[in-house]
Amino acid sequence: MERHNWNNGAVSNGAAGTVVQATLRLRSELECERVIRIAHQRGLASATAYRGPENGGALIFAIFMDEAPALEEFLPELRKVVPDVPISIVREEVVHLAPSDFLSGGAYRPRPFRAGAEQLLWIFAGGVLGAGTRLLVESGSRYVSPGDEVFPWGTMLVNVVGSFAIAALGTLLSERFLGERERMFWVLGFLGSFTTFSSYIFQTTESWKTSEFLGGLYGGGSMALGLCAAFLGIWLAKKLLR
Amino acid sequence: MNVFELVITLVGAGIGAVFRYVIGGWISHRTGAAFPWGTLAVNVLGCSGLGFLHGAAADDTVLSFILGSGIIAGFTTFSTLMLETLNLAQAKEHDRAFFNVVGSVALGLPALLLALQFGEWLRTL
Repeated sequence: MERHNWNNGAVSNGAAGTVVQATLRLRSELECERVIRIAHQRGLASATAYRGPENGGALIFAIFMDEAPALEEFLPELRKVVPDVPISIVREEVVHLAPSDFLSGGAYRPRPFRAGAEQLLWIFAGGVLGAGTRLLVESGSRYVSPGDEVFPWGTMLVNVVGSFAIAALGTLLSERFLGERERMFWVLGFLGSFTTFSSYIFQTTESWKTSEFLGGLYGGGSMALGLCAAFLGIWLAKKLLR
Repeated sequence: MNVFELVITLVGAGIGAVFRYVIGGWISHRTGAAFPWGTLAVNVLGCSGLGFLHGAAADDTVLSFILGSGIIAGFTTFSTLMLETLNLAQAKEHDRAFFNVVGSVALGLPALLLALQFGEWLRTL
């Protein structure tokens, strides 16, 4: 940030990515309304006024913000309207530029598809860890109950818990409480690999061979419980955010 | 199962997850957000892969485990299917939500059984 002295009018090199802020210390509401009116007419990005406490009584401040060229064009006009009012000018680098469709709901749309080395590495790491956790739960369920081949409740548990977690995280993601890296590692890597569709279908056919009732219970039960768990996850995450 | 086999299985699952992102993400990107074709394609593809594996390598339980619980299980996903189905349902797209669940099973199951038959047939050659 670069700060200029009072009444130093030079905005200088209005490069793109630079936002200029001009602050005026005004003496009356009439002056304030006058400058704000002109700023709105010229379509300045931001024109705000507030009454600020300062030594010797409340003053009115007006703050104008826009990209450097736009504000540079506006400044002479401003000086003409309130000739003897000091103007403080601050130039700031733009660090985070909002997507161009931000105002039309861009923040609600899913992020674009990118497959760079960093993304793939996070997904890979999450996938390894997710599969490790799945194997742990599955072998645990086999250890606890010998009838696991007929009704593989370990995989069912993994799928239902994973559905709950992905729904909760997915809600946090779409509300922008989680970043891209968390999405890569936890959602696409860990949970995607933790839960499995192919084993679910295969186990349904295997279970069906032994008992049509258990096969149907496993196939339908996984789906029903998974959907309920995902619904619960979304509901809980939204409740937490409120 | 020894440590080496476990490591291969886990690394396979990581590779499967990367393939899921690249293939599924690319398909989703091309087909738009109206229906989660990417996840559906990935799951059906994974089902046929697992079916083929169990048909062609039925007597090799170690290989079946390494590939079936590793790369193929990491490739397919149950949780994303559930989330995307609920997202469709909450967007009042009930027909699409229904087709996503029923279609995944109705396509995955025959894909698995057909690939299983194909794998078994290959072994008889």
